[in-house]
Amino acid sequence: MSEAVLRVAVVGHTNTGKTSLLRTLTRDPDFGQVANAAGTTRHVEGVKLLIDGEALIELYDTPGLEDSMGLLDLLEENQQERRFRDWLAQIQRFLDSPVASEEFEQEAKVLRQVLACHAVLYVIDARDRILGKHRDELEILARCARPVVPVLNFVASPEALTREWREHLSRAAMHAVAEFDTVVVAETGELRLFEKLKSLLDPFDGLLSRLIEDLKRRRENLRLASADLIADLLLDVAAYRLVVPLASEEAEQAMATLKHTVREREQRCVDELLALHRFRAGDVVSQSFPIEEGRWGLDLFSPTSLQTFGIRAGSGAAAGAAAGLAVDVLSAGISLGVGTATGAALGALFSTARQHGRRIADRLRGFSELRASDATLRLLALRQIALSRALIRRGHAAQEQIRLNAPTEAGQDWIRGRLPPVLGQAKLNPHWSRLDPASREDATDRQAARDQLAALLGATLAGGLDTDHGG
Amino acid sequence: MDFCYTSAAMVDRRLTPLDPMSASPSPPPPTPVPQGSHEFADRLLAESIRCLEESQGAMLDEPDAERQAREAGGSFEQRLLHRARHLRVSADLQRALGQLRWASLIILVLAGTLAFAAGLTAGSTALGSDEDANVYWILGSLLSLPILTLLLWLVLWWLRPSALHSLTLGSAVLALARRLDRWLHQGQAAWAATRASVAVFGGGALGRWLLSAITHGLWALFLGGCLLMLVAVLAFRQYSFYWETTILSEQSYVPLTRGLAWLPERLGFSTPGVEQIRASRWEGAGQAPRLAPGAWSGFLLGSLVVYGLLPRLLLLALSLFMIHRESRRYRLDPGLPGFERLRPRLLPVATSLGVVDPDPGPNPLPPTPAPQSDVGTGPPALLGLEIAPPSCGWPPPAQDIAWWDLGIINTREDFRRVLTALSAASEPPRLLVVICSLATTPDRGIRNQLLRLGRETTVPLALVLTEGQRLRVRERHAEMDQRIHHWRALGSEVGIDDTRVVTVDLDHLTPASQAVLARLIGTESSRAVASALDEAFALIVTHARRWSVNPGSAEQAELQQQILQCYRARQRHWPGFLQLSGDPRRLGAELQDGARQMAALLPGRLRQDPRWLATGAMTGALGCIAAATLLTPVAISGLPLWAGLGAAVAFAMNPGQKPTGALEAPALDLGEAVASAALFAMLLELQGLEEQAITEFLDRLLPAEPPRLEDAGAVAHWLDALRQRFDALRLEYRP
Repeated sequence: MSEAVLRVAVVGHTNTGKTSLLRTLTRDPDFGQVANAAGTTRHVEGVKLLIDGEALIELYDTPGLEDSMGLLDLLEENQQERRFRDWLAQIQRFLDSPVASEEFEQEAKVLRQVLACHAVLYVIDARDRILGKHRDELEILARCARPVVPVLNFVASPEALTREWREHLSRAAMHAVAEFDTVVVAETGELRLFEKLKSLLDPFDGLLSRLIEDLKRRRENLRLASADLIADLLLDVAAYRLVVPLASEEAEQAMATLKHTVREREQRCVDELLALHRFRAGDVVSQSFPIEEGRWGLDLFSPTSLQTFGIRAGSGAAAGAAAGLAVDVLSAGISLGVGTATGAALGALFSTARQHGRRIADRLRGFSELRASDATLRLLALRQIALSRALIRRGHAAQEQIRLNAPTEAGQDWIRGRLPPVLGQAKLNPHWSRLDPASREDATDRQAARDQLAALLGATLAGGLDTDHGG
Repeated sequence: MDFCYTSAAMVDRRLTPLDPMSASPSPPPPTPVPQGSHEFADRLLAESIRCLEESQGAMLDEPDAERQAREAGGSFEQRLLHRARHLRVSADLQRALGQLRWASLIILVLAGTLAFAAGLTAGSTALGSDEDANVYWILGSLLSLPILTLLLWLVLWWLRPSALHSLTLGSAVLALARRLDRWLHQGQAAWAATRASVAVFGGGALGRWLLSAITHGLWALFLGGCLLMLVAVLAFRQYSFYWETTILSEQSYVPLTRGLAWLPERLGFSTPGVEQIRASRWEGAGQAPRLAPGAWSGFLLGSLVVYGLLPRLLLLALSLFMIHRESRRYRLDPGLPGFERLRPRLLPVATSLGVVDPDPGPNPLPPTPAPQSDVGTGPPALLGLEIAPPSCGWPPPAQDIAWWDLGIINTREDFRRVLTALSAASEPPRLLVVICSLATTPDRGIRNQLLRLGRETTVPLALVLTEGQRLRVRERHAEMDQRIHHWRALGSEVGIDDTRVVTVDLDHLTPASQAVLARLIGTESSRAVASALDEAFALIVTHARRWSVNPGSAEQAELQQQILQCYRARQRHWPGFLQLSGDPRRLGAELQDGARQMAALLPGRLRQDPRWLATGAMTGALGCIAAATLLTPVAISGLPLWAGLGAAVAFAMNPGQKPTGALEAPALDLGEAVASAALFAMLLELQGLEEQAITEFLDRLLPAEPPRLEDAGAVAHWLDALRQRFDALRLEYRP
């Protein structure tokens, strides 16, 4: 018989991260209260997980079990009196007794919730040693006649005793053990958790399969959508250019304007990435290149930013006000711009003579063209890739903020290799940039370029995200 | 089984709606909700909105529409459609889509007319003006193109459906329609409508059937035109039909004609018989009038209908039917980035059920602990509760103490064993030292165990908290203090005297911590030599007791002077900035120097905290003052330096700004003052190390913020803990 809704109780010793686990599963950083003390959660709070708008699974956060040894003592006292062998009835009688509303109030709440649910997630802090009280807790839970999936939390910590715990649990006949780390969430931690549940709950097989498929699809779509956002950013910035006469003051002013516009555009991309992953601006901070309150702290155009990612600024790099920009000046002749292959330029000239005619005319009249340099494009890509990866990975429970640790995780090709040809194309099509108020909206080729670049970035994002933990 | 549920409030906590009604004008009435077969139009609208948002680069931000979509419920796709209907721009987009439809219709009509006219022309030219008409020639010229294109269509349909989108008449017509629309209407809405129609019709089955329908329709019109023209011409002119051949023979033509005529015959057209066919062979101009013109014209018209018009009409009907079916079956692809970005707004992952079993209120008061009697005379008992065997060995080394070792326990059976052993002891111990781990959360279970130990054995308890380093690695300093606080609270609940709760890290045992243990048990270790640091810390505690409220700069300077004296007595080195010239005029500048150098010794992480910065700067400045007063013994309060103190500290804290005027020295609270004095003492202790090493040392030693201490007791505890950490770290930094 299969029911409509699966009810799962999240149970564990106090301060093992139950509420944090639920925050991660529900993507809600405000759920419940988390503090580093005993008895933080003292009520039972429920959430419904939705699949495509339909509520199929209810999760219940419970108070922590604190005195399971005392409770077990109590239960066994009663057992000796009545010689009762039916453990479930024993627990029921405990719940009906007055002591359940006094001394063992918290434990009673937990057990009532367990009896009202179909399955139990038993959360364990993997850094704790295996003690008698844990055995007693498992004993009590086993007497409740509900399938139990132990969830090892904090497995990413160096102190985690994962192997010992698994051994201990298998000796208690619990082999479907899930691993989690609500601070450093592995890609598949959540998926594996539900898969273990599915293996123990036959009547809910279909339901859990749907949930698992939905999770996989969601993750995939998030990755693609992130890649699309980054592609859009890169195209906008690559195509954006300002034309200024060679006189100095105007050029300085234009440089400042260009930098400001590009920074704002990057900020918009960051905001949208955060919104896509359901984060708030204040949630992200990094150690080596700070993001605070949802803004990159290190300036996009400072040399330090480039160094942090290992990008070399390039041979013709300008310094000072022009740092991070590429300035093309027509110098006595034919130069059509830094990094433009002649063949591509000629082809582009042939097909869109009108646009480029104007560019050439500008140049011949002694104007120069300001663009963001290649190094800046690389930096933009790398930053946003790192951010996306961290966002996809991170659980919603970490009280500390994201640490964007390794610039080396990002695609190496973005650091050292050639830029994708699509970006070269973008440089030749200034009307692709939405940053330029004069651009027209009807660029069908832009959409194709965006799709191409998004596919490339999607592959980069997928490549760097591997599972941290097995099983 | 539904007991204990309060009425569940289905509040969607994740996305609380804003209050739009106050600020913005009332939302426009939604475009009328269509039913049933208009769902496809809805989807087209949603696609147009997606294209619009993509071209704009930003999502349309209308919390109203989003809220309505969420409330409407349903699947993600349904919410998208709902939102699309209720956006403000929807009206514009509907209009643009309508205009596109009109443009398509115009082009379609034009194309149809052209096709028909072409058919008429083809029909008339095929027959020609000559009286004699070559049947097969006419058939060939009229039917070849339609049949060829039909075959092409069939081939492409089965082998490369995607090529259909560029190689058929239908695609040309649609492209022209788009062009016309672009030419007629500008604007973002028109652009989005065009892009959406390309997206919907340009790729899938629906698009292919639409193209096919148009193509077949146009060809049908063409053939219809031919037919009409042929009928008209044949009605009003006289033709004699013949056939001729050079390389083929009668034997091939007769069966061919009979074969071709089979189907038209079935449909009622008159067709020539075998003899008539034979007789119609071309014999040269001006021969006898040909036979059976009616039959041949029947054959001609019939073939045109059967092999040209009918297939096209049938396929047209099929295409129209399939268009209808596919448009019903068309669904939005929620995986597209443009839609995925709406997911967080429209489709929360979870909704709250609220509190199901509420918190009944604070825990019942713990049972009052039994009074602890000190009557025991036996050796102190030692018990480890839920810890790992410490690295210093078990039992921990404390000089000249004969422990009664009860072992390390964590199960119920072991606990019962310990209880019985203690109760049954002939000589009850005078003290039971319980060692617990700081890394565990103090909970009711441990509390109950301690209570039982105290109550059932009437032995006074002492609590030693170990594994502090393990906790420090795991958590931050603030959590550490909080954890110690919770353990102390547990101790007082259980009735353990505050002085009997100490933190000693057994994994990093130092002489200082051993002294703490000894003190706890009551044996003063005779060999303990109080180091200068111990004296200094003791001085700080004494002074802290005397300070009623936040200490003033004078009192702090006095403390630092006494600390300096401790060290001077032991002939330690002084830090460079305390080597003062003795010239009172230069003292002001030397104050600034001192403040700045001390601030510079702080690790970067602490320098970012303003409280630490103030503390450090004050330490340096006061240190100079203290040194000055030792050089020239003058009452501290009499010094004219106080005016310079504020400036010195301010300058040290903001090196870029020149302080203007006389500034007040920052007032440090108790915690900061104690930290300042401790910093001074430790700095003197660490002389001989390089500055870099000192900074590193301080980085590892000090918490992120100076402590907040309320009274002398807290000061003593904090200094105790600091002392032990200092010792542990000191072992790593030998000069």
